[in-house]
Amino acid sequence: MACTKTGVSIAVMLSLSHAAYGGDLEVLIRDEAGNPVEGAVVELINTGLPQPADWPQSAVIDQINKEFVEPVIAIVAGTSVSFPNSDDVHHHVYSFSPTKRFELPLYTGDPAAPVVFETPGVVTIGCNIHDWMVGYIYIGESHLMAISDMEGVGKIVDLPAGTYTARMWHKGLGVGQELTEFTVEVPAAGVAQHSVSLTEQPAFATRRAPLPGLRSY
Amino acid sequence: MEIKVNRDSKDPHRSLIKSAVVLLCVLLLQPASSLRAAESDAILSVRLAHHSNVPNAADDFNTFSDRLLQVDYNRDWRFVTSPGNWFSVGLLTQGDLWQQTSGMNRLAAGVAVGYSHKFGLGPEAPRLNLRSQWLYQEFDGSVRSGPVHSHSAALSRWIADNIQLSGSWSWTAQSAPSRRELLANPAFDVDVFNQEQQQLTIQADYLLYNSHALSAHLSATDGDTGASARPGSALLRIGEAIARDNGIDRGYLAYRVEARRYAAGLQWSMPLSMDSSLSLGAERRLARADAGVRYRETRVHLDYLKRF
Repeated sequence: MACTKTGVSIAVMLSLSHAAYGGDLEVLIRDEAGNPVEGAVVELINTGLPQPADWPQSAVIDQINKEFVEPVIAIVAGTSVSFPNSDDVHHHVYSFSPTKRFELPLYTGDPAAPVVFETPGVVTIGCNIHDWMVGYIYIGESHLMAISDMEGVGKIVDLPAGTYTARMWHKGLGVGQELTEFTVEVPAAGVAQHSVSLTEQPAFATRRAPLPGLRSY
Repeated sequence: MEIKVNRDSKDPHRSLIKSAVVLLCVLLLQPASSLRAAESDAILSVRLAHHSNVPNAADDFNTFSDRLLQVDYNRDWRFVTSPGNWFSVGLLTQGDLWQQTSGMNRLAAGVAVGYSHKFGLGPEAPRLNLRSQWLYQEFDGSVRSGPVHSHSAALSRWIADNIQLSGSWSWTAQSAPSRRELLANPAFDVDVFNQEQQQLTIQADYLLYNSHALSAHLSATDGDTGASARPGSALLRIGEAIARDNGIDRGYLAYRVEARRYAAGLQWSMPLSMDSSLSLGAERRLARADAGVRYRETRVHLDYLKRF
């Protein structure tokens, strides 16, 4: 749901920023079994299209009920991200991904300062108190990005007609693995559809559900 | 036969006073910000279990099995004092209801304090957990009633994305004040359930892709144990204390025996939601005492856990 909202908001921002253009791109992402894949990031690279001056330079990842509200966000390099804590307990947000290492130790409410992500790549974030909390920040080279929704669709709207190179990332591909790249043709009007089949690597998630202990008496 | 008549009997009130003092010290040492952001978890645990050798009897003649329902409700408050350091205090309540052996029905309540340290960032970082707890337990059959306190230290680490290893040491002391009406023989010590044990446990947890967990553990316990049998049992030769077992009744006598116990167990656990799980486990126990006396037991349990 959160990915859907982010994807929609990016699409709306693109729509507002490129009102002069007309072609849309829909990337349909499926797994090997044909099921839709949510939370995949699609980015158009080397487009030569300038980033609008009013493009947002900040983003927010809130923490509620000991989970990151946005499990995946896509931002442009240089964007600052704040990590407010809406729980009434401490969180300790960190990343040791090579793209951006940081640590926001023990805080409630708002941390002192947002974190700026300068380098394109993928950053995995976690909470050192609640090990099951995991989130991903995709830092793109361009502003032309979308996150696939529950139907597995990532949509970028109002593009000039032309041939684009698209890049796709999903957490199931594993951090540090090659990103999938493909070429798409976008018409002057209407929707260009492109399907991508993704081979997800099984990944273990830290378990939140309780385990029985040993009662020794 | 050697019977220790003058074994120190422990005052149950001293344990409670000690626990209150430790609790107060732990709370006073917490920074105000840490107290405000204390994290509280309550866990309800409901266990259906089958024990194949309720009296820990050393021979078939005295062995019998029974089923029981165990309900625990524990609440912990955790205070994160600095990155990687937690203190916790907890309230514990426990109840056991046996299908046939009603003298073993039990209610217990107590307190716990703990300290945890995480060596670094991330789920893979090793963790050290120290915990002390004090319980007072009341059985329908009074011979086992009294305080129990234990101290434990555990070290755990994820050695792969889905494999966690942990090792723990614990020391447990239980005391049950003497009750003269339970004398089996005026010359004998009746403090059967004044016991001390130390236990070493290693456990491996294997996480599956669907967050189901398979766990295996091995443990070795050294120290006192209670075993019961009808008069004439081999336990008489090695018992350090003897009393009428009004927990099991049926004319059984309870013996305190010095023994080394080994246990091996397997468990499978599936999440039902973010904060609840269902688990099925089994444990095989073997105890060895002097003079070739040994007993065996198999325990099977089904657990439902819910975190609030």
